[in-house]
Amino acid sequence: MRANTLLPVEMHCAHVGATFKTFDQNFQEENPLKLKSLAVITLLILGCSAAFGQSFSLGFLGVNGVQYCDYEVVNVSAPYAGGTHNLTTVCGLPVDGVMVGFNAYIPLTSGATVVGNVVEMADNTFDAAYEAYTGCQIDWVTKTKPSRLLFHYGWAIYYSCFGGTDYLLNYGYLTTMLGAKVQVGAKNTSFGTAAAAKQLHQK
Amino acid sequence: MWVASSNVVSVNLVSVGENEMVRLIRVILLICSLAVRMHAQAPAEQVPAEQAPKEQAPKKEADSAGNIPTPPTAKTQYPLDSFTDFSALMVGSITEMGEGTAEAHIYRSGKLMRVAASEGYGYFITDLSTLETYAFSSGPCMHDNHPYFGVSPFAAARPGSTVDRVAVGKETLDGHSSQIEDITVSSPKTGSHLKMRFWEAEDLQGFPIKIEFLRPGARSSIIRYRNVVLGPQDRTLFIHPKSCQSAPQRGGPKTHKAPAAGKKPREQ
Repeated sequence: MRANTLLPVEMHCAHVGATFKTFDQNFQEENPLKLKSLAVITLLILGCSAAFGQSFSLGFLGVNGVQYCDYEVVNVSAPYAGGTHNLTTVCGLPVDGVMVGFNAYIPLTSGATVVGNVVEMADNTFDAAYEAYTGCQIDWVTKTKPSRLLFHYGWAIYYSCFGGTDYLLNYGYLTTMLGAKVQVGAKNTSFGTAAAAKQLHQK
Repeated sequence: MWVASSNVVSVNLVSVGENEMVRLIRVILLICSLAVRMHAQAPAEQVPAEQAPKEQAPKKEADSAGNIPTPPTAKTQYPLDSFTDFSALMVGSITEMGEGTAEAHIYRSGKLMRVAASEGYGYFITDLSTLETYAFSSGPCMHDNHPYFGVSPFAAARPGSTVDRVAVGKETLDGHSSQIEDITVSSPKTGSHLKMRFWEAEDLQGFPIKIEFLRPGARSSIIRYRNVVLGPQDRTLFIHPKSCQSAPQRGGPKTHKAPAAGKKPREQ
């Protein structure tokens, strides 16, 4: 789907490049001008590509710095976004969660934990973790880059069960490390301990 | 559009000087590049004109005739509303299927509930009247306009929702003679129905020592409350600032760095 979206953009950019090539021939530009034009066109093409497609894979750190075993792999085709909430690779759960949503802006004055430009996605991680209908749904709020500053949080989870009150479940920082690979023993997920889910799977 | 505009540029440039042409090309390309980027990304830190209004505290609502609703009777009152001062050890949560394992100390004083963080790094205070939460750890406090999940199901009955209570039977659980009651909290606004089964200990004035979230067609979640102590709590447990404006997240100095993976966050 992403390739299809990018194709027209790339064609536009190619057209622009071709037009300016002809233009250069007609006006017999000097070499420095050609180089500068080429550089600008290259930047334009890069700009086109970056604006319409963005992918990121980020892990989750708790407020206390603990690394959770799950992580996100998200592809943004602005304004829409979709991705995988990876529960299998490090957490060892049977299946991954699916995320789908869009770019959003949460005002600084909203009183929310994560503010500014974010990607907000519905996430069926509860169902995936238990391989069952749980009646609970996650609203996943994430930034698109690793956290750099303390107390500037990068992700937050809100959930609702049976459509009633929505609750804050957890929040923290984003990191480029995917999953708690270095940890030994029980691994925690960002949405709660995985122990209960594993116990259910073993029964 | 790109091709057309570029062709117009090439035609016009026949009549202008070479230097002006170079400048014109640069300006056009710069504008195009910026326009494409702005199309994809909203400006950073810009506050939209239409901000969502901050969630207001629930108010008592009058019906369409302007009458103030009658106080709930024993049959329609949410059982958890009557336990305004207590402490307990909570085992499990609504997000864990079956018998939960996660433990957290909880305290309630009036409309304020305090819940220990699941990983033991701090605690959360949720105001059940405004549903706002303040989180406390080693750093500055954090504010969110949602209740913390650990206060579930104490925050389940919101103004306007209806409560149905049906007595199911009796059972002795963990040494407590308990009345079993099915509770359904319905929200006319969302059409949602939260169905629970309470085991209400008679020697604890009916405090539910076990709550099962009933999920049709799925496995239930179970929360148990142990070491229940009824009565006024230490008020200092519930002290929270009016706001967390002093937190750097709300625009303070950007001199701190986020923790590296696997390390505890520290102020630099």
